[in-house]
Amino acid sequence: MSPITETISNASIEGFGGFHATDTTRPPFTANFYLFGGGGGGGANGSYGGGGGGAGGVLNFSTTMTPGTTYSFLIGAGGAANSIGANTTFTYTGTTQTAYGGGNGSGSGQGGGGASGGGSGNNNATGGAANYGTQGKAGGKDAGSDSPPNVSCGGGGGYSAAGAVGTYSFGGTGKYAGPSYWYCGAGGAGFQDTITAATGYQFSGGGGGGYGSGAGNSFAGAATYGGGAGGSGNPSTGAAGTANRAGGGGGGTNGGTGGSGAILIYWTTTSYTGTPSFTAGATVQASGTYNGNTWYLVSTGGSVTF
Amino acid sequence: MAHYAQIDKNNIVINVTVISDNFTEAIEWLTDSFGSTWIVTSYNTRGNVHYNPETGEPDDGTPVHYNYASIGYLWDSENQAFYSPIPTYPSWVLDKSTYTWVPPVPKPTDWPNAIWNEPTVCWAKNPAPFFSWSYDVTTEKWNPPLPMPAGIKAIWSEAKQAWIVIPPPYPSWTYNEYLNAWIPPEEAPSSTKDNPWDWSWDDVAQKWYPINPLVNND
Repeated sequence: MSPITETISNASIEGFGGFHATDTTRPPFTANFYLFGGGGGGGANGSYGGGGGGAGGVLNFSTTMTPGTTYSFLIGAGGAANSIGANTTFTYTGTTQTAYGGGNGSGSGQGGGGASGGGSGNNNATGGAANYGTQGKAGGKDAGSDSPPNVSCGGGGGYSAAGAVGTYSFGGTGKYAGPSYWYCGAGGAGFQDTITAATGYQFSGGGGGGYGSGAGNSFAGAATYGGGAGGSGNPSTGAAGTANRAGGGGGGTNGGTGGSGAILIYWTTTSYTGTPSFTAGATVQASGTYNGNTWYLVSTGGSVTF
Repeated sequence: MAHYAQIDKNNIVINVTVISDNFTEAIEWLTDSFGSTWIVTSYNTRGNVHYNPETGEPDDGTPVHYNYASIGYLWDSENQAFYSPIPTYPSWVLDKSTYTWVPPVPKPTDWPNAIWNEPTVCWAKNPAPFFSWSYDVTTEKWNPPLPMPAGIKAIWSEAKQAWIVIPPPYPSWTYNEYLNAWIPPEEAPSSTKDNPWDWSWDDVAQKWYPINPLVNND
């Protein structure tokens, strides 16, 4: 009788994956994640122009993925007018990582967009004081050991104030918008580094705000893809987050809805050569390779099996 | 994309997520994977009206549960409605035909720029020029905290909470309160093609005199 050949070397219980085994021909590998929370809704009904919504928080982390295992994740939706954005989460081995949604812009005479929640932050703090002329606070990005600290996304702007600019961010910087000093809000800043730049998308742009600023006169988290919302082009409704990538909503009388979040996963191309299977509602928005990495950008929640 | 709201045992929305339209078993998957109750919500529904996502205008689409849910919203299980728990203004009331907060006084239809003014619980005809100004219902005007100095041009400084006086360009000019501007004793001549001059005021001679001719492209 020939001996039984053992091809399974590891086994474990996963939080959402159930019992699984690891194929030694496809060893565990390190995957890197960017989680982008949903953008905050723009401020509505403000007597002085609703503030732009805050950009969604950004969480950067790395962990080990085990081929043959299924992992679940949720993409945070953008907040309605005056509402915070929802969280984007990724769950593995009983751990759930969270990028918080952006804070809401405020109205009722209070400018100021929401702070964007970072990985170690929260989305409860509405940026900007209860007054005019203040900007949304910059949100924190959870800084891993390989990331500079204090990387953040910008908050939305408020009554005559620009949105805060986050470190390592670009685009969507708040800007004076209105034809008159009391008719403006501004967008928060976006976020980008080399890998996110490789996707061709901009993430977490803040929303433009502002009551009554004419079309083209209000500025937002401008971006080709995934930026923040357009500013309110008329006195009634702020524009929603464009391209649904964690941009905040525009302000205005009715406010704008924030854009939803996203997840970017990447790994060194040689560490895992298989093709991940995205199921249960997940949508791969884009994928590619860059500088020795394979990346996938996912825009709706679901599961992934490596 | 389809949106789903997660509600807790108190019917408070605790999460809202995005799932592919093509995944028909989303609620079952969300419930099995993340627990509690999930209910579909629509990005395009506000006030029980469906809006075209491209144009932002109402269309004949079917509204879903009155309003797009966000974190902190309430779920009325009896009427199957999502709504914000926070009134837009303290004096506004919840209209259960739309599950939105509406003012106690309807917005005047002939005041397109009207803004709600909570201190007076009424609509102001126009937005306030400054944050600190208060609305006078009788005159339908915004008033500064300090009265504007009479007979002299001044601009309001919100930061200093004071009027900043702008002196007249010449002693003989008088202040026109209606125009909020300094006016010369006589109107400046108009510059025309046949009279291509710019004009400057001579306060001693009390008359306008021509200075640099305007560029004549002919």
